[in-house]
Amino acid sequence: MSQTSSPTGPEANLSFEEALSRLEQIIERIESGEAGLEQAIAEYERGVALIRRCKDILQKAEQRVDELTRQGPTPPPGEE
Amino acid sequence: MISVSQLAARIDGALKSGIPLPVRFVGEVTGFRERTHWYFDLKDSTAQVSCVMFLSAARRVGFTPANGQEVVARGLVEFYAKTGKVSVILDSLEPVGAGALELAFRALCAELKGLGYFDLERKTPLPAFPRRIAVVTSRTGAALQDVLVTMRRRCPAVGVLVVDVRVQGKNAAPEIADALRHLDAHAAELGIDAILLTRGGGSMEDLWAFNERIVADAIFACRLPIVAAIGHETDTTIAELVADERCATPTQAAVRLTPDTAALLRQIDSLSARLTSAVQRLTRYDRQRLVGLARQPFFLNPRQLIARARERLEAEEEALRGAVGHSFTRLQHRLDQLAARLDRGHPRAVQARWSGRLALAEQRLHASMRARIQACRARTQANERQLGAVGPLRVLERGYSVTMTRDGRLVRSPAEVRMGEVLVSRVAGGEIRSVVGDGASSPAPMPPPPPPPVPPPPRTLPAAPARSRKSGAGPQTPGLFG
Repeated sequence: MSQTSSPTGPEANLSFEEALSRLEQIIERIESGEAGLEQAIAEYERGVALIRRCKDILQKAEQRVDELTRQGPTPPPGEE
Repeated sequence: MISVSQLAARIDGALKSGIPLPVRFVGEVTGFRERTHWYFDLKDSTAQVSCVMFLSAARRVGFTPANGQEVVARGLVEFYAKTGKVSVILDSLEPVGAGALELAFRALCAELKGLGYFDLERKTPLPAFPRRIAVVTSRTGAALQDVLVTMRRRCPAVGVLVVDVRVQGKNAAPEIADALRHLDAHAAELGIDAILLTRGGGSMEDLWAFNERIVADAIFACRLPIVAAIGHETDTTIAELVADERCATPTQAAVRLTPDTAALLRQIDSLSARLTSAVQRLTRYDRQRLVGLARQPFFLNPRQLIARARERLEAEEEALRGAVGHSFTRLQHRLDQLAARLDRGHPRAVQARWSGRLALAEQRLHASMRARIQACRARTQANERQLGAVGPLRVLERGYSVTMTRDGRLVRSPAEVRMGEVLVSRVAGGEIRSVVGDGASSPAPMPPPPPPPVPPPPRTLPAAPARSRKSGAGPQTPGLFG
């Protein structure tokens, strides 16, 4: 999934897959009860940020179509 | 004279009897139209026949006829009276030379299969959330458009890198292989997670590039997952067998490679719900406790409870003070006692006490001694008197006398004395000395008799003066005889 900028801090550079995976981990940690209440709430907030990030990626993305030029192994314009 | 219909029937009959069996013929496709069924003409340089292939038969053809394509057709000749047209109803259609290609295809299949090119174990799984997909196809083909549209619809977040290649002709295979190798080598910098290899329908010759060894090798060596969708649903090329997955159409391949945004959003919503309920569940216990506590009487009517508590507190205080006071008094008392004992225990006090006791004891001793002495004296005196009362002296005063020898031996009988023995007679007024005779003669003068032995005095205390027996002592002399 393309990296669209998101206002959330440390979650800003996560790919969709990473964000989703972390979100699932957080939920499992809270559900298992291994986190104390305060920690659970902190994780909850992280989870909310991750949800926002995932939704941003999905909803705000526009399809990017590039073409590989025949000049050799140069990435198309716009790629890092 | 016959009618048109009758003529038509005759023509039909003539055809059916003239060409009763299906005929096989070769020709070039022209005027191909697909309206559910296939309608085209097959021609050669000088003639042309109309062909129809119904859907049921057309489906079994491995390709779609293209104008200009040489084909081998087989079918029954028919005269359609309504239109007056003669058509060949085809039941099979093959490209010319399909036989040779078919053999080559089968041979290569067997070879690659033996080498493990088709093995399931070596197929790479497709990514669940690809960031970018490389689409290897002709940039002018319809397949590309199908792919782009489908991907945009399903998940625009997935990026696309189009790699334009020839998809038929003799230069196609090397170009395709080259593109695949390039993508494999630069996957990381291009950000590619998967490859979609596709082209639209065509004849076996059209698709032949995808049956070439060089393409199979490139697909086999490629570390990126590859989904191949070549030709129609019924076409299966070697590329598709070697690829990690095969799809029937480009659209289906695009669907297969992209996640469904709508489904993902639903999944995120469900995760969001789980997150919330998980935290809520965590706090539920605490909230229940809190609610329970809030219902406690204390919170409902705190003043009353405080007042009651205060009462109890004061009562307890009272009791405590009482208990403390009581035991305080007791303790004080004990303390005083102990202090007194301590004082008494003081050495000087002890000394004084002992001295006192000693003095007291001394006094008592003296007193009791004096008393004893007094008592003894009294008793003695009493005894004396008593003794005196019964003593011989009283008897003597009555006129009796006691006769003793000079050595104090009492005489009771004349036989106890000898003639001339001196006797002493004690009478009340003193003593009389006499000599035993017969009463006639006068005895010789006697030496003064020795004093009689002094009887031991009664036990007396040292303080009392010692008494001695004197001869002729008066009545004060204590002794046996008073």
